[in-house]
Amino acid sequence: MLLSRSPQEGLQVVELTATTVVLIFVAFFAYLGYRRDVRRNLVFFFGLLVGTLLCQVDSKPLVPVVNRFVRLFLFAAKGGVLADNPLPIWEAVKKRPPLVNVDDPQNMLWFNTAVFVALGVFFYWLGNRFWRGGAPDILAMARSRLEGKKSKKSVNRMVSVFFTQLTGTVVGGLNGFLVAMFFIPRYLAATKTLVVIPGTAAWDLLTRNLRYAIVVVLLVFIVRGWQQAKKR
Amino acid sequence: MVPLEVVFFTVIAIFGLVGMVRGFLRELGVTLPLIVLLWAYSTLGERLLKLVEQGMVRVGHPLSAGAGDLVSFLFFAITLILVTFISYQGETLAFGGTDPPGIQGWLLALLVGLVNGYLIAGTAWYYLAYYHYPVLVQLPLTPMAQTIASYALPPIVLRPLLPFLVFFFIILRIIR
Repeated sequence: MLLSRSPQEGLQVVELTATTVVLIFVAFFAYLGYRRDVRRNLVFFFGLLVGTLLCQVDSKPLVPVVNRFVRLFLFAAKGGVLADNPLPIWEAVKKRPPLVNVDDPQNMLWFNTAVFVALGVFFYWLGNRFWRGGAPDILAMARSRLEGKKSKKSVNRMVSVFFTQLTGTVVGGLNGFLVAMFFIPRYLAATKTLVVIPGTAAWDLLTRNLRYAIVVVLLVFIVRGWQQAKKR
Repeated sequence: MVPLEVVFFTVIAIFGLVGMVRGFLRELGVTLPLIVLLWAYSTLGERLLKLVEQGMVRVGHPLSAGAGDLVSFLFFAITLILVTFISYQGETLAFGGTDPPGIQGWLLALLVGLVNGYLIAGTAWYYLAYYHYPVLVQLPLTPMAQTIASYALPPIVLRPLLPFLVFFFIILRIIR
């Protein structure tokens, strides 16, 4: 049984297994993937993948850049650019603690989250910007086929749409997997609410299955390319 | 001496470029034999090696521990090179049809080329590591190379998936 209930301190505790939580994420994003165009999903997937890889190294390559930009911004905001003698302003700005401190785990958690979310939102927006409109609906096509004419052309079109929506759904599911991989170990591992999730188990599950996710991504791309390759 | 991981990634990149030039369907024709070879290694590799060792004993040249590692590695390396050569040389295994058009076709060809590069370079590295680096590599490895050797090489990553992948690619090859 995936869900179990047990009374604890007067509260009804719903204990979710790691698999359930991951599946919820995957199912939600797979549905989004089904609804959205596959190209938009791929762009979103790319953003999440970059975010995941950056967070694997705690986004450390970005830390000096961000701290420098923040200092430059503060320097400009305090009038350093227009001042006759900008040195005291620069010295004052330099004395301030850096915005992102690599020695502070809480600070790094927020920074990683900001990077991951920013990349995700940016690439989601980028996909929407380039490709408007949703994916063609295979169910609607099937319904109209049942009601209307049955030509060979419409069958070919349905097969093509089916593969497109399948690809979109799988890529959407992978997006969910990446989002789960980021958020569950970081935010839900120590949750003390009605929902109790064994975070370590979730992390194990995710890392153990990461290779399957990568292989599935590759297979999806291969099937997509194979399906688009014309017959000789 | 160049770090092993640099050589690894360089080889993958070269195969990626080769893939872009050759096209998506031809590259798929290379992926299939490589996957089959990996599966054969995982199921038959040790048995074939024992046959080689027994053969060496019969001809009166039993292998010492160090030489045994070298011969075992060479067995896998030579078969890998042979299969790679046959896959790239022949047209027989290429998937039928014409490549997807435009930049999408190029990107897909690059992707499958990179995968092939990973399968070839990664398998060679795996057997180098498995037989304690009998040739070519100067130890110790960098921490990154150690991580790759422990977790990211094809026989480690793909082992449980190999039968499924062989089935998948054969179906893909037959259907069109």
